[in-house]
Amino acid sequence: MPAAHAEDAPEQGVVSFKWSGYREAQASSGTPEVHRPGANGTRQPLAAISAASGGGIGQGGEYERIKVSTPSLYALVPLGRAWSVEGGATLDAVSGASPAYYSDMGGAGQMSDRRKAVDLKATRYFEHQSLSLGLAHSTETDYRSNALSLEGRWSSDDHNTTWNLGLGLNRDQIDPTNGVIAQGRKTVRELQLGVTQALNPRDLLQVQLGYSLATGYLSDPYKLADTRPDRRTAETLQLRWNHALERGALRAGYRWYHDSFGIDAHTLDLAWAMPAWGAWSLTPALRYYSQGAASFYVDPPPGFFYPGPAVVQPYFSADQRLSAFGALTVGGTLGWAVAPGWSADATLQLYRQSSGWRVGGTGSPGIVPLTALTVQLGVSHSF
Amino acid sequence: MTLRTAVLALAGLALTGLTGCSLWSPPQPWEKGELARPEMRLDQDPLASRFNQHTYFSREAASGGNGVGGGGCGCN
Repeated sequence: MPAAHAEDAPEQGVVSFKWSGYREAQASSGTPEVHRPGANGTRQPLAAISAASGGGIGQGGEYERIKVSTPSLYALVPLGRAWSVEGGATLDAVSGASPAYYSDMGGAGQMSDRRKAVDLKATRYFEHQSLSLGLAHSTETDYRSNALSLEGRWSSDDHNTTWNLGLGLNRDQIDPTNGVIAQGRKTVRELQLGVTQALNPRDLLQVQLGYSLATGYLSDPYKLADTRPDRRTAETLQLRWNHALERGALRAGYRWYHDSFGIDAHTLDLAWAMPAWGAWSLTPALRYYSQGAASFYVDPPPGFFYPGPAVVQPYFSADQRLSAFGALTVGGTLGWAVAPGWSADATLQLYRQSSGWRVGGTGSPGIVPLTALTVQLGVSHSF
Repeated sequence: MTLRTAVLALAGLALTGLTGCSLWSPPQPWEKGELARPEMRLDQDPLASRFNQHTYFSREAASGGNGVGGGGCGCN
């Protein structure tokens, strides 16, 4: 659910449709030093096995990973002056493969799935406060999620200061297709407290503090030997600053993240809404992300024998998403004010994740960089 | 100096430099025109935010800070 903003009951309703496409790839097989048992019990390097079998892994080339195609709908309807209802529906068509072990694409099996998600939120507006109740539900072949949220906002008399408090409860269930676990349950409780302040006629500042507690089955059953703690707390501090230029605007954001898995992460977002040129507008944007590794993430040592875990320890993960890396997104959005009340937008983003791009420490070795392209096409109508 | 301190200091510096000395001057009702511009909204595009948050959630360890009760997925 979007974070609070210092605005009152909406005067206009909105209906939006957007199609998003995502495609990711990595440059090579991933972990050439990993050895698999050969046909007669001997151990051969991964690259040699697949070259001999004519498989996709070898020297050079790109390995397509996940592809996603997502049509989505959103609507916000004011009901009189005191109520509004908003909701969304999304259909994710996902296909492809993700590595089960570091960035090794050798053991990755092809998958294809559809995720359906819906959400609904009702808001009651008072003179200086508003209260929202939200519900969200999603299903996919192996995963089901239900969420409930309650948010309150309190504005000062002059509406320059708005406090927000949010509570969220998620109950998820996973039934992986590989049968590693049946009816794995995960519960997440969230709390968010923040303030939005109009600093002056041109500057808006928002500070948000977040806390979450996840309990239950938190491991990834599709990653080899993945065993994570059954409890994870996370804290976030997010700052957002919007500055109105003579024409156009600058938007900046920073989020600090820390969790009990031992991960520290930083996210920096910058966008420049350039002055509109007639009915057209362009907003280039940049995002930089950096994270440290989880305490139980183990680097793939050379000469390691697949498929056992690298070392024997209570918690273990070979999931590259828990490794140390940095990532950069560059992109932009082209907006077109088609007609009064109608607008269209097109967004292009290029994302690259690499262990060498981490700040504040060294990145994890043995992980191949990942690249992804996102395209979004949308149309919106306000009424 | 940690990265976090550096980023906050830089943000503070940029804020002061770009807006001049009158940073703290909460606007009167007739001075809110600029803040009401569409490009000044804090939640620009709900559908774009959701999709981006979902893809980052499936590729990175950090998540959250953008609202509560959004629901989960099997992608992480």
